[in-house]
Amino acid sequence: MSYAHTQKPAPPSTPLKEQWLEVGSKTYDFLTIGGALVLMVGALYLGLLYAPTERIQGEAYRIIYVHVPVAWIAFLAFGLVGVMSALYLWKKDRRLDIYAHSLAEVGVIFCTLILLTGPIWGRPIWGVWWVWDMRLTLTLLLWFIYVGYLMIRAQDLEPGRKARYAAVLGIFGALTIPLNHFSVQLWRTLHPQPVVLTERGFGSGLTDPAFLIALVVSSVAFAVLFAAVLRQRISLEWMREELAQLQHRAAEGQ
Amino acid sequence: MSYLFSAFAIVWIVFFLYLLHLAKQGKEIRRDLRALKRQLEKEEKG
Repeated sequence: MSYAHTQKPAPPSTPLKEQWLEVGSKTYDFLTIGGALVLMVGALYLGLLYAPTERIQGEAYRIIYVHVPVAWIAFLAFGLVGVMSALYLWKKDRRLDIYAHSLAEVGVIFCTLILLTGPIWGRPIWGVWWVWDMRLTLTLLLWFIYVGYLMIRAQDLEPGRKARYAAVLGIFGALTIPLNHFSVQLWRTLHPQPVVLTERGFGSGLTDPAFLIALVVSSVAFAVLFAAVLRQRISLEWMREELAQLQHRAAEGQ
Repeated sequence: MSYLFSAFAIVWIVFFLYLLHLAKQGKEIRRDLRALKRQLEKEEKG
């Protein structure tokens, strides 16, 4: 596999997987995996026991303690795919392409969770699993865009061309995120209006501070989990890259 | 209550399956890397 004419390959002097957080990678793993476990226990306690029951929605409202954090993280991941893709098209650095690919895959996992947990909340609250509401439809579209992105990645194309096609789609997907965010204000939708990031201030839409505390801790827990999973995914991609380079070397030697 | 349980369970099942998938892929690639490195070392010596 050669990237010679289209991409700058990662420097070959050290094993490729070690270039990602070469210094302190074990510390990083320990902090993120251990931190995610501890924070998740805290988030479960705060979300399921500490935060009071919501007056109108009852216990089902507690689904927001997973639904909202995974949504924020998915949007963050896809936003970063857009940034990495744009930088890749500019710099042609293979490392940026690897980060974009890994972010997209982990982002799709989080986006899948938005689409699974949302209807489970919608069924008891709205009485239906799904409505073709603008926010829901745009989120489904976002999921399709990045599933398409991963399908491009799975194609047997020349690596440089494949990376360019994926980068263009990655940027396009990221550009739809602001529209998704503001869709509840721009259109009449069933989806609830923002209660945390509002014009009146952070968390001003929540009536009890316990709601905000549980949501913030849960979001931090999912963010740390995201960092841990992303590191594993990037590490896997480095190993694939190293394998491809060794296969190339072996083929040249024959 | 069953909706709440379902939502939390699905999140953890999806993460568990994804991490399992990553671990399996990592194991396969590590095995291929070891085999290829051994083969290259042999070729260099031979």
